[in-house]
Amino acid sequence: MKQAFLIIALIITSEAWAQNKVNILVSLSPAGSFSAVSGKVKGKLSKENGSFVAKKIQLAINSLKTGIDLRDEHFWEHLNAKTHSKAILTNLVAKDGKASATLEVNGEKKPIIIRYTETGKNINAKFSVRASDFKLPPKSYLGVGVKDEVEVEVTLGYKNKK
Amino acid sequence: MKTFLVLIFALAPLTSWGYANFIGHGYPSCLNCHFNPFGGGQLNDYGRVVSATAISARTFYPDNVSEEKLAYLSGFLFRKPKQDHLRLQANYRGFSMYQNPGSEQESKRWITMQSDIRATLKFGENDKFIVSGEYGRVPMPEFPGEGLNEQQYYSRNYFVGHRPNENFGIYLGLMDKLYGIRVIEHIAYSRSNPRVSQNDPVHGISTHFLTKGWEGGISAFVGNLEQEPEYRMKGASGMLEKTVFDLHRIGASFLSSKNDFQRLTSAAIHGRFNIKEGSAILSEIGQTTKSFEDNNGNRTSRYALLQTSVRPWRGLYFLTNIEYQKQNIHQDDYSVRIGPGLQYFPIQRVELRADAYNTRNFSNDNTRKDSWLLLLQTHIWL
Amino acid sequence: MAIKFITLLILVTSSFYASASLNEIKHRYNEEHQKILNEVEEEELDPEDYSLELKELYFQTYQTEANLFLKNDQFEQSTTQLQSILEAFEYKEDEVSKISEKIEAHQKELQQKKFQKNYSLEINYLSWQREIDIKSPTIKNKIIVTNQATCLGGGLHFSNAYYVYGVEGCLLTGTGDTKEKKSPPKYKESDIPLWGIKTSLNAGMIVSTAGAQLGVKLPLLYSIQNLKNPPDNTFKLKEDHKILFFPTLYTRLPLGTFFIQSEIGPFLDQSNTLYSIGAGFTF
Repeated sequence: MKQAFLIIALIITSEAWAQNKVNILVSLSPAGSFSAVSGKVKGKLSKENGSFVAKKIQLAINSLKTGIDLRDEHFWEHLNAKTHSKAILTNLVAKDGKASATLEVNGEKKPIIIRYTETGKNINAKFSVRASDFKLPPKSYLGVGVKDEVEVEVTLGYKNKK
Repeated sequence: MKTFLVLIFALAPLTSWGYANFIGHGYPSCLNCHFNPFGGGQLNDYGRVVSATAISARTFYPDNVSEEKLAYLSGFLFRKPKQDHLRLQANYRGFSMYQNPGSEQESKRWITMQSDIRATLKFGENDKFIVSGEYGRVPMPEFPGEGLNEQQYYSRNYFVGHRPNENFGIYLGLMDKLYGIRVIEHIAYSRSNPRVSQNDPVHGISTHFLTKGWEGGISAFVGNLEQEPEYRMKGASGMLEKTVFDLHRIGASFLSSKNDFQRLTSAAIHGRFNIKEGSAILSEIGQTTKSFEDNNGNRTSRYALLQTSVRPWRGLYFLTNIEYQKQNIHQDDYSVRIGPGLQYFPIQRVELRADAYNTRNFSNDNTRKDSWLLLLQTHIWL
Repeated sequence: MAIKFITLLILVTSSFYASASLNEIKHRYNEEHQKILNEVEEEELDPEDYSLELKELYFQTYQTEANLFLKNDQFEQSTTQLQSILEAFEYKEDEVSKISEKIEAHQKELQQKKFQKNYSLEINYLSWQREIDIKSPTIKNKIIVTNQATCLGGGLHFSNAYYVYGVEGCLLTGTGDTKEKKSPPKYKESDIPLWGIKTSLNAGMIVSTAGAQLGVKLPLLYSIQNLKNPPDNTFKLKEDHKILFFPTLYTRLPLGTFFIQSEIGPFLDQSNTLYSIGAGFTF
């Protein structure tokens, strides 16, 4: 009985974790695309009086998976994961479907605007960023290149602030 | 033979032309992996690497061989090319064909379907200029007619191409007609009805365009100049695809051609769906009208294709081919061909494939047993 | 006896050590511990404010609880708390990260093994052939009836991230044709109505995160179809194969909550292959 309870608690906990997800849609030149996905997003998103805040949300670059091992390695290399192993979102403030935050990638910080919707106990956010804004050089491999602009989708669970 | 067949299918869940089902790996456009933007033909460097690191298994490589090393070994001489201009590829494709195995009408033969060498010269930034072609043996018929006993050699594809930018290209030469999904199964009704199978390349000019959400092209052709003039099918064809939900492609095609004896027009719609991690669905529905100068034998046929490709693990694909053909839409008779297939890439440069086809005819005129076809294919390339 | 006593002592001491570590923190550093919990909640913790000894104690406790979980599947709620504290401390970040990854991977594995129930509604087109004996006092032959039908029904499935098991059923209605031109008798019937039921047990593998399935079904198909005896009254039909039961292979590919599926089998005879193509949705 106790074990069943623990497993249920575990599942509830991991369900909360499992809600957090980042999906980066990368377009290729001349054609094609792939998604880099990670469920390992760390940080706390709180809701108070209809607004959302988060001081720091982190994503380990090498947790992003594209479905092909070699492509994973190249993608992490493109994001300079060896030197800057995390993408960090700080000072997130969100209200009425619009959020502002500072995104740090490759050691470069840029303000960004994010559109989001609330579904249950999660927020679903979308925004576009340019790799060149973060001083990530253009990357191509054997004639197939990665386009500068990428679309990012984030799903984060939140807690109500007491 | 029956037991053998049962074993093949029981074990299955436990372990040219372009492979359109590889949209499941996130590559909707053939241009990523082939010199020919519409697919088929020689693989470019990126296509070789994808073949080695995403499609082929690494069962026989020790763990200390990295993916980067596999990519390096994917070149023609088992290493990365040391120059940027010449690319070579050699292919062998042979299969055992069993018709109606286990029955009184059983027949068996080995066919060398393809043995050729391909070469591409490329120049300019982003390979703006290319000259590509292949040369090899003609598959020998089972019962060669008079004058056809000797082995023949031919080139079924050669062209020059120019891509002034990544959105547009123009190609001139002997190429497959631009129409529908280029499935690898050249006996498919979707290939034979509109006559776009392996022996139907034509001399002509093709344009290719590619934007963020669209891809397509138009081609104009004067038939195959190897044929006598009166037999050459001259005309035009086009294909257009739209990317939907960033993953899938839906499209449409048309084709119109004629020679001194007949006219052929065909139209189709198709879809290619990325189910992720290498799994995909391909579908095509089309209609072809053949008319003759003497109006004898005019008819309109319809066809449909549904192919599902499921990848249980790296290197292994389980296929299901479902096809429909109505040879004359004014008659009730039609055929359905369905069958499972296993496609296994045990190591880079090697493909093993087993396909079973069950063809059932629906006819008011007769009911008969289904016919079976079992194909066991070996494909090796350098 | 002595060995048993020593073993018991070691076990008790170990278990006390695990709980003693957290208890030890609460006992020796109660005020600090409460302060740390509040600061972590408010994201205001300054690692410089706390001793190395305390940080190491938190790390050792985290490591012990992680090992217990990996070994016994016993997850303590305090493990999550300890991870948050250590991340706020930025203490032994790489090691904490590796332990966290192991915990998450194990949690994911346990969750993926858990079976969930779902239902499906589906419509399928299927076709099969039957051989029927037709005989007179002196001659016995077989005729082939080619059937096609639409089957509407649903299923109940239990699946986790790796496998799926289920049961399906549908009601079918369709028609069949038969025409024997050569052998006696010359016999023809077209559009022979049929109806029946098809049920199956299925077992498959989930082969992609999108839920693509590949597996085996055991369908049982029972159909009712009334063929008429040939008009010459010499030959009679013997219908004794109204039930079909044999294994088939199936694939099911999802497109969101919808799916398409195919089924084919058994490939044992050229006149009894069943195939089915269909679509449906899960809920």
